[in-house]
Amino acid sequence: MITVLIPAHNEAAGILETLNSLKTQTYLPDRVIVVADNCTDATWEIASAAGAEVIGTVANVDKKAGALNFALGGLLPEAGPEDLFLIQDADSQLSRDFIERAVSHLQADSRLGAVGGVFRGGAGGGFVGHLQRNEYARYARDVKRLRGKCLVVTGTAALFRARTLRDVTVARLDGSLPPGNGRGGVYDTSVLTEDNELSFALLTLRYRIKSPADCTLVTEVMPTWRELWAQRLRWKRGAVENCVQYGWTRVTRPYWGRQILALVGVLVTLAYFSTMAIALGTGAGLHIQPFWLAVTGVFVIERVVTVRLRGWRYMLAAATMYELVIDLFLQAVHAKAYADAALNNKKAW
Amino acid sequence: MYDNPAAPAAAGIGSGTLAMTGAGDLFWVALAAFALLALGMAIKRIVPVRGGKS
Repeated sequence: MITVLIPAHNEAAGILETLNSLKTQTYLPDRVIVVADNCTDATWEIASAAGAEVIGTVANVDKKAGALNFALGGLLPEAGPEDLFLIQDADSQLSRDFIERAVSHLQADSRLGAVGGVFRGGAGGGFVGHLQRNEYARYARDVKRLRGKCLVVTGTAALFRARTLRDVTVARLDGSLPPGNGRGGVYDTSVLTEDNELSFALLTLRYRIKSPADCTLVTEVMPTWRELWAQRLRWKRGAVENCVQYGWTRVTRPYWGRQILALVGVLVTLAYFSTMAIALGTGAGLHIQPFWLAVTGVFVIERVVTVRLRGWRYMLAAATMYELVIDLFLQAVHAKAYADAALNNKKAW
Repeated sequence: MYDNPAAPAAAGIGSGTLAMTGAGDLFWVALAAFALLALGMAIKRIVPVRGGKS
């Protein structure tokens, strides 16, 4: 038995396409439930007309995590241990064989706690959308090279067994995991990145997580720099706070390592541009050194090779390093996220 | 979520020069060390993996 849960807050623009991608699956789900969360648009009507079951949250103030807890709270007690839940975003469309392949991965490994997807960026968004599609293509390449090993099973789409989600509930109540909403909800409503936290939870319970290269989907890209800023600030701050929440454990060590490396990267970038400014400002000038020119050449090759999934035109364009725009933008996001987390600034998303 | 430390490093260091500003050797060495670390990660991402197609 496979139940698809789609939390949706004002998703009238994309919900139909998402539901259609489920209707053409090679392995059809038994139930498709849209969890309408404080919708003021036509999400409910569109989903219902498309044949999905629609349930509405009641007084939910905890956004997506709260909506999912609401739905799972009703469904999990009735589910068999091997029943499956596919939880996916309302703006993501699965490839035709996503469910079939995800189920086979899950069935092949009893300790696999979640199967996620490898996503491509959807159309639109102009230049900033283009940069995100390149970024996602690089991420897909990374995951493929690591044979599905991933740091996070993202909320775009993930398949779980009912017993796995029940284990999370029990662990939240007995204190072996952070309490989440305090009532045994699967998703932690107190964090910015509930999918990252759930990945930590599964790993802490000694489950494995995986995003196999053959489970693909298309997800929305942020259409403006402003929205990309808000999304990435939430992701970054959420990831940092999840590390703090879990502390230094066997699970979180590699995540801490990445955070420290990224923080040093921010400081180095700042230091680097400061020295450039000082050198130019004081008239000392810049000295091009062959060794560092060669190092730069390697970075150029890295940009070219890693965007291969997008095709040769994109590889050629990457050689100009025009994507430094988004690299620097993300550095600024990271700096803001670290500062916000350190100063405990108000979270808003 | 999709941190790739090599990319920001490229952003910081990828313009063909490390400015010598008299800020001190230790500072310069620290910058260069990070650049070399990022270089190693970039090479790792370039090199084909066994059984991989990309």
